[in-house]
Amino acid sequence: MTLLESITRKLKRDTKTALEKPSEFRKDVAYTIEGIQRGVVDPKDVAIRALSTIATVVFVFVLLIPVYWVLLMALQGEGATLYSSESAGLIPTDVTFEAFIWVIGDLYIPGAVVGIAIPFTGIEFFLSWPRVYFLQTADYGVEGSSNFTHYLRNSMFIGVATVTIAMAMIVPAAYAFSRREFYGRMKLLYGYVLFTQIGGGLGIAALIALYAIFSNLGVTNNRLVLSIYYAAMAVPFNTWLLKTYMDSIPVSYEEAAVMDGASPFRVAWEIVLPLAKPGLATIFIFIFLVGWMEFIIAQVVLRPENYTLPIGLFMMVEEFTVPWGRFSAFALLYASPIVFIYLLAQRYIESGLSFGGVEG
Amino acid sequence: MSISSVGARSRQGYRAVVPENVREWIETNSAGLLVLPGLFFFSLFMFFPLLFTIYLSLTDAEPATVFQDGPGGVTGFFGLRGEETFVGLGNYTAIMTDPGFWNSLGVTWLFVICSVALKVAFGVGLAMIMTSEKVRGKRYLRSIIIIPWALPPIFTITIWRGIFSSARFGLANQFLMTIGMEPQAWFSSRWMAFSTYLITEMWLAYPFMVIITVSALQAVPDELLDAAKVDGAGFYHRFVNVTIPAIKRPVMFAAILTAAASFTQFLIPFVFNRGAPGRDNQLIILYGYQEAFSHDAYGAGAAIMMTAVFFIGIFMLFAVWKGRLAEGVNG
Amino acid sequence: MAMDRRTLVKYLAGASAAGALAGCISTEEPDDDGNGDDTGNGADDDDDGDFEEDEDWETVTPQDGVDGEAELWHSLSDAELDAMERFVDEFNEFDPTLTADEVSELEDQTTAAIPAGDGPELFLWAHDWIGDYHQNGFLSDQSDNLNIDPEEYFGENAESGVFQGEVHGLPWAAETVALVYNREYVDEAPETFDDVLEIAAEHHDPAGNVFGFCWPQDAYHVSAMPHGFGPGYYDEDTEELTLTDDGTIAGFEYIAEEVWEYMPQDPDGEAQQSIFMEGQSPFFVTGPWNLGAFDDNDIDFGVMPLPEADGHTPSPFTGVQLLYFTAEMDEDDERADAAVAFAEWLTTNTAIASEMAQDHGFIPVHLAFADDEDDDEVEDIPENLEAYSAAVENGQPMPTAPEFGNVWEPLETEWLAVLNEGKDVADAMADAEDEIRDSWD
Repeated sequence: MTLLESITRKLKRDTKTALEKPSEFRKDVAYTIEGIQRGVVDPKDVAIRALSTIATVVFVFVLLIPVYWVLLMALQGEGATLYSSESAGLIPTDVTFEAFIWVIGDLYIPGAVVGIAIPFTGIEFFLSWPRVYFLQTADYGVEGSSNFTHYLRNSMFIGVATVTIAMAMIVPAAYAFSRREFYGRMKLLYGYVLFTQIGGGLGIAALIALYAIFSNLGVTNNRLVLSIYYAAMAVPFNTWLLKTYMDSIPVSYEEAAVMDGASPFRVAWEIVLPLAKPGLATIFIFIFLVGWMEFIIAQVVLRPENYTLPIGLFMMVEEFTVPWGRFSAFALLYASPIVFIYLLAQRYIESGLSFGGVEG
Repeated sequence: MSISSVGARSRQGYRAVVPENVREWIETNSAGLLVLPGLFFFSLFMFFPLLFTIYLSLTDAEPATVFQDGPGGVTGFFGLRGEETFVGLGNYTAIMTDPGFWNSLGVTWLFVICSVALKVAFGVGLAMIMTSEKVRGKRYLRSIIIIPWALPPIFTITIWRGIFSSARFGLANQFLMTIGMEPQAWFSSRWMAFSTYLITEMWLAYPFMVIITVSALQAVPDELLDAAKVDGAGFYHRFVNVTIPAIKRPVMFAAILTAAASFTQFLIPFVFNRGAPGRDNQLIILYGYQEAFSHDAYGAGAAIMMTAVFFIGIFMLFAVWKGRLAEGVNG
Repeated sequence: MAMDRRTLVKYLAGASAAGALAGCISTEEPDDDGNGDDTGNGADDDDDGDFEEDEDWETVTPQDGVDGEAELWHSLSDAELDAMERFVDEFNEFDPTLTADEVSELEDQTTAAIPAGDGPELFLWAHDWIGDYHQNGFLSDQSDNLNIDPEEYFGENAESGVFQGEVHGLPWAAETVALVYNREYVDEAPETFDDVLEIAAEHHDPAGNVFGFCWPQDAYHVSAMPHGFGPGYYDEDTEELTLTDDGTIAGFEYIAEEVWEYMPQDPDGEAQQSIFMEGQSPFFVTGPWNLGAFDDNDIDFGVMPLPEADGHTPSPFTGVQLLYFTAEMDEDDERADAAVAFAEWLTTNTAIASEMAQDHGFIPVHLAFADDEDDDEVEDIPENLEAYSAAVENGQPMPTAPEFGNVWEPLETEWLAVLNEGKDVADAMADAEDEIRDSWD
């Protein structure tokens, strides 16, 4: 619950800062103008700042045109193609949410028949109600819908399972690496660094073997086994990352706690972990992303009923045509949770990724 | 009482049976137990399949044989082995004489070199802008430019495929036409297709570089830069003498990691055009994948993959050694 | 989503029995039929009445005692998928049960899953994989298990499901490419390719973004000329390449020298297609799968087989959509029977064939649709599809030999070199042959 509270608190704070930003900005501008009038601030300086800020914003916009473009196509619905001159401009025309509605599909509370029987009397009541729709695609003239919710369930399952399993392996290990001495510690760390980025590539390299093994054990098409696999692949990089973060936490707190007679477990649980929150947040996201985004192995191992979002997305790409409008809407809905989590935890990630260890 | 006495007795037994030095070793290394679960699962899923891949690379395995029931036991890979037959180094000699393989390896290295150079230059440049004191609202801009990193690769790569669509209305072609050039058939010519891979790879990977460089830059003490300014050092001198030394190690570290990632790049050529024209642009992992799945040659595919693993292993060992990353780990 | 009445009844019975003793509250999704859910398909459901079975050709229904389950993999497009789901629901009213799943990367998945024993009993794809998959042992011979004689229903097309005497699948529909023209530019169907080129020349105006002719330049789409002028790519009887045959080269040269100049200078299919879809070209060579897209883009179009060029009738590759019988069927007889029952039911159902022809451009292969002049009872298929049917008549079935799989890639690479770099056709084809032979060794 504390986690939830801290998130809410943080959200509130962030929203407040965001809301106050414009007025702050206004004050800022007013102050600058005043400064110029009084001759305290050099107008040239201000001009340079304004120009370079504008230039940067333009540059960032150009850099992100692909993302903006996807949004435009998603808003143009089914007819959108990359190739029509109408959808090629950068100003949206004919905005429609048709594609998003198609992706999400019908949203409803299932209808039900409820039987209530009163014991020993033989009297029964039956209550029933029809489906309650929040969103009915047909209302918007959208025929059919995608399997988005189905894939989402599978992706969430795999993402959550991967994070849970991986955290259970990584957090104690990172603590041991950072705070304890044991045989082979350096060698192992060294080995982990070697595997940080190439794990995924090696996974594809060993794909056939992996598939043969899964198949022989009869665990292809098993979401949990796939999650364990992802969790295992996430071990080297994230253990190492969390370890470097923990290294940057001063030992003095722990020493004080040990003096007070706290057990090593309590020191780790009550002092190191809370201080390592930014690091934990960072690896949490990284690990979740592994399961959320992985495509190749999932595609070979899973069968249609367990397909995840990336597979569902790629299935929309057909040999001769891609329904770009729907594809984009699907893709945006798929990517949005990550962007949301990321923005929420951005401060943590930046400090979590400071690579305290490599600066030396 | 009885329970504690049992405990005490078993402790005594333990002391009697296990020699002093072993006990000590176990005590000092007990923290290693915390590492073991992760290590175990990682090894299980990384090395066992690799070992099996090595075995497959020494056989003529193909889909029809490899899944049959073979011999059990340790030599039978606990029942994993199928009906494939052992061919020794046959697959390796075959790929050594296959020009396609060497081409693929060459293209892969070229891809690594070019893309790393681009990623580092672009990432550092962008990071400089994002920490420049002349730019306002940096924090917000920073969270925005990192968005590509938060997007699933399969999504961004497909979008880039659309951008480079050879149709006149592909975004890249529209851009060419606005600056007065002819639209291009991006994927039909070898080097053009290669360039599209590079641009896409750069776009996918720059956030990683920016995050790392920004945090390194923020760690550069302002006093140092100010002192340099006071000394009258220009931007260039400050960059070379203060900034570069400060960010060198983190950036190098990121460059090595991202080089390894580029080496194993699979999705970009897979989604764009399957490494066309022909197999000219099949980066090594895709080359092995195609060999295995499209040509039904699991054995040869495994040999290609293992060769790739070998090269990447050499590269990483060399980089970690030369780049003295281990010392960073020491910290 | 067909809600099961029996479940509800069972539940109600169960609830009263248990409830009488203990009292209970439980819920169950009720019968939905009255709610008009699945409105997405509602419109299609209304259409059902339009498609009736041919009186002479009764659909083959599952035999008594067949009540197993089977699985089908396919990679149909969205619209086709909706139709397929309805067919499957319809079939599941019988005793056996079929599950149809859309699969990503059908080739990779079947290659991995079938030998591993995780695959489906059936999958739907063009017939050209049959040789390769046969050789790999992915397919099952069901000749003894079939309840029908495929030739009786599909005539010659039954052959496409047979490899080396083994029946590996039943044909469902045919496909090939033909010439689609935009009536805005073309008043009446041209008689010869010269007429086509004349019209193309008249409208060709790259500066104004109008192109005379659109034609994806991959080895499948261009096959009509090499196979019309000469023997084409590969001779199945002698198992020899025929790329360097004079006729084949002449066919390629015809495209490079006569047609290419009127095309957008980009061999890629998407580029060619987008221009025609925009209404910026009079001609487009494509298959029936695009018929729906023309309507969506408000193109007033006609279809005709590719007309005679220099006295040769173009002969494009034809493919037959097969319901393949996979090796999984050898593992379990009950599932195999269910799979056969579905394959027979789907392929012999003339109402389904009419609907697929009408809505999705699937050229029927059922003999009920055969253009037999003595028979007045012939089923109607749409006019545009007639043209495709005629194109199939002129066409050349894609080779099924496993070796042919290695032809596509080198051939396309060399052909692109001809178009992009002006390489000599004869040289290019010789190089392609060398490369293909290398890959065979």
